[in-house]
Amino acid sequence: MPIKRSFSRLTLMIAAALVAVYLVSTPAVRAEDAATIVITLKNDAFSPAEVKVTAGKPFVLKFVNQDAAAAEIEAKDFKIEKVVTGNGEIIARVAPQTPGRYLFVNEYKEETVKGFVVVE
Amino acid sequence: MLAALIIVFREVIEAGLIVGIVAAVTRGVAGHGWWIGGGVLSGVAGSCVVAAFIGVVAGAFAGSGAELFNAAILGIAVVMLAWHNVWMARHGRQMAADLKQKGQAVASGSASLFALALVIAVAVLREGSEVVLFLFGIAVSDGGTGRALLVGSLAGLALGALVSALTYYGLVKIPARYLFAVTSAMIAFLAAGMAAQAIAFLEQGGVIEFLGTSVWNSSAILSDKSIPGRVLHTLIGYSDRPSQMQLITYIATLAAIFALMRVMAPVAHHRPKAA
Repeated sequence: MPIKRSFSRLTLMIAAALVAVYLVSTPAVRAEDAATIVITLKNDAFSPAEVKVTAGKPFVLKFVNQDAAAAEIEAKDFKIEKVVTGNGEIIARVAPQTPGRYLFVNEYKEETVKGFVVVE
Repeated sequence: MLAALIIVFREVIEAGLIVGIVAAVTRGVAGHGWWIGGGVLSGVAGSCVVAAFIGVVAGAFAGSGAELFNAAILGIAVVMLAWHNVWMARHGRQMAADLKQKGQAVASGSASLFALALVIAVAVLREGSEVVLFLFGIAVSDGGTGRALLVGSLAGLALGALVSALTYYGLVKIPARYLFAVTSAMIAFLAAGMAAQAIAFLEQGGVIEFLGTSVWNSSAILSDKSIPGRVLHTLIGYSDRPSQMQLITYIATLAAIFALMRVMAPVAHHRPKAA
């Protein structure tokens, strides 16, 4: 008998979790007004390998992968860690930053495949 | 080859720790091996599915699909871990008493086992899809370096399994009367760390845009991308630059779990006699 009660509580909690997820995922994503910078990954190189953005303003990085292999885009300072499939694309939202030169890499080949965002 | 080993190991270390902890927590419950194995296998199967559709997932919700997906499955894991702890606080003592009468123990243990198997599946699924994509990337690139990378990746996977084994054997060395307290605390911290991680995903997805200032930056001392940093990240939710919202969520989750465990714990004299 206790097992039956536990399962119904479990069902209730799963339902609650799903509702929470739904509530959380509906608000409009407000990044559309931020500047979008497109960076292409081809033959294991980013182009442009250095992009400039304005300090104190949010921006969006769009990575277009033209290689066949997937890549994991990582920018520690922006808390970006995101997989982009071969011949796929992703966007990453970045909060307003202070001036500086920030590194981003393909984590799968982080020693060689890198680029920078210059915030000024 | 070493690079591939490190990349794969970094991805599987979290799942490795979680499998080891769950195996120790459920030790003595009949059939726990099946639940754990089932959790891992469903996670691996799920990883392949997610890897196949990651482009679709990432493109959903104005490009925030991957973040929302990660936040959602972390949320499920947090609820399951919390539920397990509360359930154990309520039934743990009775279960230990019933262990002699085997049939009963199996029955009362299985509801909680399901929750933990789901946690394992989610842990494997989350990082597993990245491993699948990495391996797939090796497969499509030229064959010259491919074999060395594949060997490195398999070694990384094996190391992850070793982490599970070490965690398990380390934990079961703890005397039985302390084990419950230790594993309950570990699960609570595990859940709090996952909740904070879910917040990080919601912040990246642009869903939460307040209390986003970093509370500290300890990346120079211990990066949460390094192997020790990853271990601490999994065990206690270490982050080298948590936002205010992450810290609040972390503390709130811990407090909520411990409060629920206390509230739900049976009063001493209300111990039903086994029929």
